Amino acid sequence: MTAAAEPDPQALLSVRGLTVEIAGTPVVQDVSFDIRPGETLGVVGESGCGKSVTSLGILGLVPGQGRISAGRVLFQGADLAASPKALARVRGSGIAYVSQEPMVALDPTFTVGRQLAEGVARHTGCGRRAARARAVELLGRVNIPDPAGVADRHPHELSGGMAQRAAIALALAGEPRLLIADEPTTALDVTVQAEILGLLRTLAAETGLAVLLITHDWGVVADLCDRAVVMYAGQVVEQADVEALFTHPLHPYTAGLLAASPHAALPGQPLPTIPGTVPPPGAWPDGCRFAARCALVTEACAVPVALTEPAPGRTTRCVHADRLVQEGTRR
Amino acid sequence: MTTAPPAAGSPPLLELDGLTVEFGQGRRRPPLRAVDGVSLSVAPGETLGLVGESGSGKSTIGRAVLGLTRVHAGAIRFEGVDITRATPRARRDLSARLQVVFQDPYSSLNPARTIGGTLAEPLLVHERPTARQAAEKVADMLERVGLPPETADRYPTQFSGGQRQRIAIARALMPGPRLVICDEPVSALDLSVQAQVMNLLAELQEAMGLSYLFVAHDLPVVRHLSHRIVVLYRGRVMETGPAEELYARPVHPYTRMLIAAVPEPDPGRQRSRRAVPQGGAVAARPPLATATGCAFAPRCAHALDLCHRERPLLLPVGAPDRSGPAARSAACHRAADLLTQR
Amino acid sequence: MTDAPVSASPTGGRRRGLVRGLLRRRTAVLALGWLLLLTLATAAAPLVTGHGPLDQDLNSVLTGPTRAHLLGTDTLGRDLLSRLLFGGRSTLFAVAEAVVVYLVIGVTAGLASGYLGGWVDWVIARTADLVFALPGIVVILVVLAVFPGNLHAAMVTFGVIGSPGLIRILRAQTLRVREELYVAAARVAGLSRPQILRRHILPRLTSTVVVQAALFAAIVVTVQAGLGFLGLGAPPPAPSWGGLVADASQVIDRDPWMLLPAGLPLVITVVALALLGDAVRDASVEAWAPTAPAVGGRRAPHPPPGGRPRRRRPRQR
Repeated sequence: MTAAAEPDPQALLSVRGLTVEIAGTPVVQDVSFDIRPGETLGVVGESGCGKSVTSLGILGLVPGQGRISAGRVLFQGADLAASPKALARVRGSGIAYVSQEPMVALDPTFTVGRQLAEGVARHTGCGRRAARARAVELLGRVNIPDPAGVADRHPHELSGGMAQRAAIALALAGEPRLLIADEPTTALDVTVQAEILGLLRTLAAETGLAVLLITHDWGVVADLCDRAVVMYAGQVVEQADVEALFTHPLHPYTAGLLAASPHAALPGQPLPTIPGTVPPPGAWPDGCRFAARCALVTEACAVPVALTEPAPGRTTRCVHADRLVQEGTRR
Repeated sequence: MTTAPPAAGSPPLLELDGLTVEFGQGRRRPPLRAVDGVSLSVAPGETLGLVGESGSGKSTIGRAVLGLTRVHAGAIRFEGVDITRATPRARRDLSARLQVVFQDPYSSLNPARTIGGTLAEPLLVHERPTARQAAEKVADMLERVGLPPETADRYPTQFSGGQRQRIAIARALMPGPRLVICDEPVSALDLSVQAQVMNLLAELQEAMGLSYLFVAHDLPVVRHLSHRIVVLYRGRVMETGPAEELYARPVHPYTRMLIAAVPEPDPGRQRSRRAVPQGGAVAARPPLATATGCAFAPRCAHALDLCHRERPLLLPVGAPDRSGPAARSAACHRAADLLTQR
Repeated sequence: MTDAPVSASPTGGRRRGLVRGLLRRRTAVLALGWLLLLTLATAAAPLVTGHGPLDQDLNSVLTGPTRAHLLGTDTLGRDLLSRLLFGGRSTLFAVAEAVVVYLVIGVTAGLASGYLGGWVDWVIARTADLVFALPGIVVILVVLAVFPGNLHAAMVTFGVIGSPGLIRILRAQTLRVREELYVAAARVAGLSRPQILRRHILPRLTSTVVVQAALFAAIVVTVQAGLGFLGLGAPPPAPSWGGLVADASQVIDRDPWMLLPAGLPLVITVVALALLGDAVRDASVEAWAPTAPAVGGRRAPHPPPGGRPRRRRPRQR
C-alpha cells in the first residue's frame, strides 16, 4: 500500500481504506487521506467519482441504504465509522457540514436567528438569551451586514450569498475543528463565490479551522486549498500539494482534467478533451479504471493499481507516474 | 473564439434595439425590469457571448428573442425583419432559421419520447418527410453530433448528461437554422464533458456557418467560444467588445470586478491576485435598480455623484476609428479615465 | 468524439412500461379480468342464458341455484342470471355514458384551462368551482323528477357534476408540464398549439386520466345502483342491479340467497374499478422511476454521469 498506511497521529482527521456501499454496490473504494489542523484539503472530481459520498460517509450520513463497509475514519483518536456514539458526539461540534444549497441546511419555517440559537444551545448548553446573543455574534463573524436584522429574517428572504453565509454560521455554532464544505459556492454567482471563499480563508486563518472542500472547480482549488485529492470512479487517483498538483500532475486523469479547463484554452484551438466516459459504479473494470480513456495505457494497467508515493507527500495511482515525472504533461 | 471571425461589413443577423422586458410584481410594487434598454447585434457566423450573473437578464433576452417572453418595449430584428411581436404563424416560419439549446439536459428532452421522435419533431413543422426520409435525416444528425445513429430509438434516460446535451444540439440543428440561442448549454456539465460539448459547438459553427447567441455566467467558457462579448448587469449592458481584448483589458468597473472574482487554476497567480485589493462594496442586498443613475453605482468603487444621478449611455471607447467586430463600448461615465488607469 | 456506448437499459417506452407494470400486479390482473368477463358476459347475454329477463316461470319462484336457473329465480320466477346480465348491460351502458361525458368535459376544460391560462382559465375554473359546490345526488334526483325514468339524462348530469374534479387535477398537471423545458423547445421548433398538446402534454396526463376515470366509474356504478334501488332508474320490469337488490331486500326473510347474486357482482365491480385505478397509479409512478426519486429499491447513485445537477438561485438581489 502506501507509505502512509498508518494513520498520521498529528492529523485531525485520518481516513483509511474507506469503502462505502449503496444498496450493495460500492461507490467509494479504499479512500485514504489526512487533514491536519488548520489545513484546507480539496477533493476534486467529476460527477459519480464519489467525492460527496465520501464526505457524507465521514459523517455517517450516506443516503439511500448506504453504509460504510470497510475502513476507518479517525477523528481526534476515535474511529467514527466503528462507533455511532463517537459519531454523535462529533457531529456539529467536532465536524460541521455545509452543503451546496443553503436551503438544505436552513429550515424555511424558522427565522435564521432561531435556528442558529438552537444550534448554539445544543452544543454549549447555554440559556436562550445567551444563545441568541451568540447567534448574532456568529452572523457578524461571517460578515453579514446588520446581523441582528438578518437574525429575524427567514431564509427565503435572504439572497443566495447571505443564505450561504448563514449556513456557514450555523455550521460554526458548535465550534467545530473541521468544516466539510460540499461545493459550497457552485450555486452562487462568481462575485459572491469570491467573497465566500475569502470568508472561509479568513476563518481558517483566524481560528485554525480545517476545511475539507469538495469541488469540481480547479480555480477554487487553486484559490483556497493547501493540498488536494483527485478522485475518479470511487478511488483516490492522486494526492499532492496544490502547487505541485497544478504544475506537475502525476496521473493522466488529473492532467487531462486540468487541460480541459477553459482557463487554459488557447484561442482558436479546440479544448483538449478526455475521450470516453466515466464507468459507473457496478461497472468498474478490474484494472486501472481510467485505462479505457488513457493515452499511456499498457498491459500493466489491466491489473488493479495500488497507490504509490513517487515523491514525498505525493501519491498517485498510475504505474506510469515516472514517465509523467520525466515528460511533464501536455499543458 | 475557436472559429474564424465573421467578415466585417455583412448586415447583422440579429439586432436588438432598446429591448425592455418587464415582469409584474403584484399590485403594490413597480414591475421588475429584467431587461432595460438593451441594444446589441449578432453578425452571420459570429458567436456573441452574453455574460452576467443572476438577475442580469441574459436568459430573459434569449427567451424574448425566441418569443417565449413578452416584450414591453424596443425591437428585435432577425434578418432585417421585425419579430418583436411575431404571430404564431410567423414564429413557425422563423423556427426554421432560429433555434435554441437549453441549459438543463435532463428536462429539455421529453422523457416519454424516443430521441428519434424528438429529433424528427422539428421536421414535422416545415416539411412532411416520409418516415424513411425523417429517419435518414435523424441518423445523419446524430452522427454529426458524435452519437451512434442506432441509438435513435432509445429514450433520454438511457443517455448521460453530455450525450443528452448533444441530442439537444442535434434537435436545434435539424431544421438548418442560421442562429442558435445557447442558454447556458454547458453549465450543468462536468468539466471534461463541457470541453467536449464546447468543441462540438465550435465545430458545428465552422461546418454549418452558424451564429450563436451564447448566454452564460462562466466567463472563461464565454471567452473561449465567443468572438464578441456583451457584459450585462441588472438588465443593462455594461460593456461590449472582442472577447480576448475585453478579458485582457476590461474597462467597465463591473467587468473588472467580474474578471477579478473568477479564480484561476494557478495557486501562485491566485495568491498574487489576492494581494491586490479589489475594492467594491460587499455584495449586500443592493436596493432595487433605480431608474435614474447607473445600475452598478451602489457597488462601484469609482462611483461619482454623477453616476448616482444620471444613467450612462453605452458609448464607444478607445480609438474612434474602431468599428464593426473590433468595436468596444462601455456604459460608464468614467470610461475615459479608467481606460488609462491600471 | 463518440462517447462510450449508450446504456442498454430495459426501460422501454413509457406506455409499454405502464402496461407491463400493470400486468405485473396481481390485483390489476384480477380486476381487469373481472371487468373483461363482465363486459363480455353482458354483451353476449342472450347466448349465455336461455331465459329472457322478463320470462316468468311461476312454477319455480324463489328457488336457489338449480340446473335450469344457475343463480336461482326471483318472486316472479324470472331467471336471476339473465336479469343480472341484462341488468348489467344497463349498468355498464350508464357507466359508459357518465364516464364519457366526464372525460370529454374534464379533459378539454382541464387542458384548456391549464395550457391557455388567462381569462379562459378564469372562466373555466370559476365555473368548475360553482358546479363543484352543487350537491350531486340532489341534482340528479331533481333531473329524474323532471325526466322520470330517463336514465340517460341522469347519467349525463352525473358526468357533468363529476367533471370539476378532473378539471382541477388536469389543470394542475398541465400547468406543471407546460413549464417543462421540452415544451419550450417544441414551441421554438414551431409546433402549433394542438401539436404540442397532443405530442407532449396529453401523454403525460394519460395515467392520471385513467386513474380518475376508473375511480369515477366506481362511483357511478354505486350511484346508478342506488337509483335503481330507489326505483328511479329504468322503469320496472326492466332489470337493473339496484332493482335486483331492492327485490332481494324485500324477500330477505324468505330467500336470503337472492341477495348474493344481486349484490355481489355490484360490490366486486366497484372494488375492481377502484383497485384498477390504484394499480394504474402505482404502475405509472414506477414507470417514472428513472427520472423521479425511487420509492425504495435499487437505483443508480446520484448524480448521473456526465452532468452535475446544477441548480442556481433564480434571482439574487
